[in-house]
Amino acid sequence: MEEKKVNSFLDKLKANAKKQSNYGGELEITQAQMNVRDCPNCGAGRAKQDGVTHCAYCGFEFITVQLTDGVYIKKEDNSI
Amino acid sequence: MFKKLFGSLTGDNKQENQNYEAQTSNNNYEDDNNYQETEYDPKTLHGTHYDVEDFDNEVAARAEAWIADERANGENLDEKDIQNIYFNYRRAVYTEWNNCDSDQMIRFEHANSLKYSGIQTSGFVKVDDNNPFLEPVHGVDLRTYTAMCLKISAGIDYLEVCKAMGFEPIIWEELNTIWPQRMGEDTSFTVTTLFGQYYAENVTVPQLENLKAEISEEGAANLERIRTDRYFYEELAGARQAAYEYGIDGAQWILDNFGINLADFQSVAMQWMTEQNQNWNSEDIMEFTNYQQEKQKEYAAKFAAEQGGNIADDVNF
Amino acid sequence: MFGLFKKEKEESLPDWYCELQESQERWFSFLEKLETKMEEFATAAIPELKQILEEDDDLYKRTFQKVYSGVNGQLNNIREKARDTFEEKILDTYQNINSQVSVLSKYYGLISDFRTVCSDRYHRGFEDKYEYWRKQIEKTQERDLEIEYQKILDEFESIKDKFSCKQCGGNITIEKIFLIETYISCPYCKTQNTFAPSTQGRNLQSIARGLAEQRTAHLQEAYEIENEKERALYHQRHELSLSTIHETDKKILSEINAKMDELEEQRQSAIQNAPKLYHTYLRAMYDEWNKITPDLKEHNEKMYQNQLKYK
Repeated sequence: MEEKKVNSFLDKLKANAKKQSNYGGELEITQAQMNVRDCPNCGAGRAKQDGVTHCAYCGFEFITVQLTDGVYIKKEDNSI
Repeated sequence: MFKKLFGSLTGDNKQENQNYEAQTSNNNYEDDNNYQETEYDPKTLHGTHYDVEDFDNEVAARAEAWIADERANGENLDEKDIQNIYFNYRRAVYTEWNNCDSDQMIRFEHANSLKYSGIQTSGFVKVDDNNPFLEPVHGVDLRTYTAMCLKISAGIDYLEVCKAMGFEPIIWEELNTIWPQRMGEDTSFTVTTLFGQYYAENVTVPQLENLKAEISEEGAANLERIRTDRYFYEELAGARQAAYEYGIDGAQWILDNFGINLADFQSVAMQWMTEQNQNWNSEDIMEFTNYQQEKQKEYAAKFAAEQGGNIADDVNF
Repeated sequence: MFGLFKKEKEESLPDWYCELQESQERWFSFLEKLETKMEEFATAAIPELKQILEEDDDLYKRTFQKVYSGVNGQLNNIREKARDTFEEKILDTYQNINSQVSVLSKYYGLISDFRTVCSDRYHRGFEDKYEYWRKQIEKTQERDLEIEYQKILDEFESIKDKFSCKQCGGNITIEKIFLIETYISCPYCKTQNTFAPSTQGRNLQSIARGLAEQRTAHLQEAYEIENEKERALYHQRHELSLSTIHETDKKILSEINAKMDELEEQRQSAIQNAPKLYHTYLRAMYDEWNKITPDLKEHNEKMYQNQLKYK
């Protein structure tokens, strides 16, 4: 009798935990990816020596902020 | 050390740190006919009838005397012990010189936590212009970062937020790495406390103003209620605690049952905490703590019933 | 003290003493039943928890977290029941009777004995059991992080040469495990590609410290042992000093004092040693951490300095 109560409580606990969605939703497990972003204005690619903030050909602004030294980004990545 | 309390008699209620003549007597309070309420400087919460410098000196004098005594008796005192001694004398001197209750003393401590303990308190954050911990990261300052966090926690896709801010997700990932790092590195907790303050203020920036999280009519009404009705807030806080104790995701439960998302809920929580620090009143605090616990018990009983009761329900004295 | 009263006890025990005895018996039996419940529940829950952790695919193991919270919630519920009952039934009874009986009564001692016995059974007996089961349940959270780390390393090895530039198709080798999205330029056409690590790769940050602590656990234990040694030596010396109170034999006294001096010397040595062991552990742990996520070394060094200062 006692054991039944303990087990049924645990079962309900497990079932509810599995059923209830978590705040923020399900997490998508993704694979590593490589992508490239061409200039939506003139179609040119971004070359390393030109920096990543602006298109070297038409001046389109990819990134509107001023980059500073970060985790992998460096301030040299700012286009001139 | 300080003159009789003048209050409005001298007509200078707002003077700060005046250089009054020293008097050693503490008899001022026996003068019932001329008794005036202590006036406090609004920023430092020191009484206006003495110099802050005199106060600090008195604390140091008493503390150093005690320290010398202890050392003479062979006691080994480390940094923490010394800080503790100063802390206790500060309380004693403040209470004596202002003849105040412990609530006022605690408000004073909060207002001066950075100066005396090196740690910030929410509601009293002191910010230096040149604090290196507050340097913008990739041009994004702490306030803007907080605004982004608020939107994302409210349920808006982080890609939308990046688009609105005019930068690529890479930048967001760097921000979301570096700002938390700064919070960890700053031993004065300025970054953390300021972040909390901005969160409480529900800050936003022009770029993000048009991004609104979906909220139902009922949710909006409940949100307004927890903002203005402290009891209702405490009820939901208690319910949320009870939910976790019964294996339920509390944040999701609040969203499902009251339509309030986590960002909004936490923002309101921070607001109440900041107000509590600024207007420290131990009676109120006790009342709300008890109320929350009461509500927690009520909701716990409801959740227990849904599970078939607590496992120890059949054990009685 | 009880020896003196024995005769009177057999003759005329006050009525309230029966009440106390009954309360005490019921209290003991009540606590025993609660302890049985705790044991039964924890014993059933622990293997379930371990299994749920295994099966939980979620990156943050949220299903496990919820069940874990629910299990602890029940243990807390039992603990609160004990506390509330102690206040309502035991302390209440104690205070009632205490106020009725004069301090001068020869049986007055029985009342405080009642409280002491009930309190000990609760604060030591019951609470100790509660702590024990809490610890057992806590252990279900343990994961062998070396296994998870190896999965991340294996995934990296399998993908690092598989990428090509989206502009010119040239092969791009990923040089290390990136923790967040980053720009990688193609070695051929110099185009800035954006590399997004897998969910698993990103997770390296969250297991790094735990893994470093797992690897240096033996050093931390050495520090804990040294710390505990100081307390043990202190108590040993204290016991010895108590034993000198009624000792008159000069030879024995001198032996005891010599032993006390020796213990004190060892204790002082432990006080000196413990911080050194702590520093050794901390430095080793951070070194491991930096091996696992070298990109975070700069930040970690600052955290290390802070931890040294504020220990």
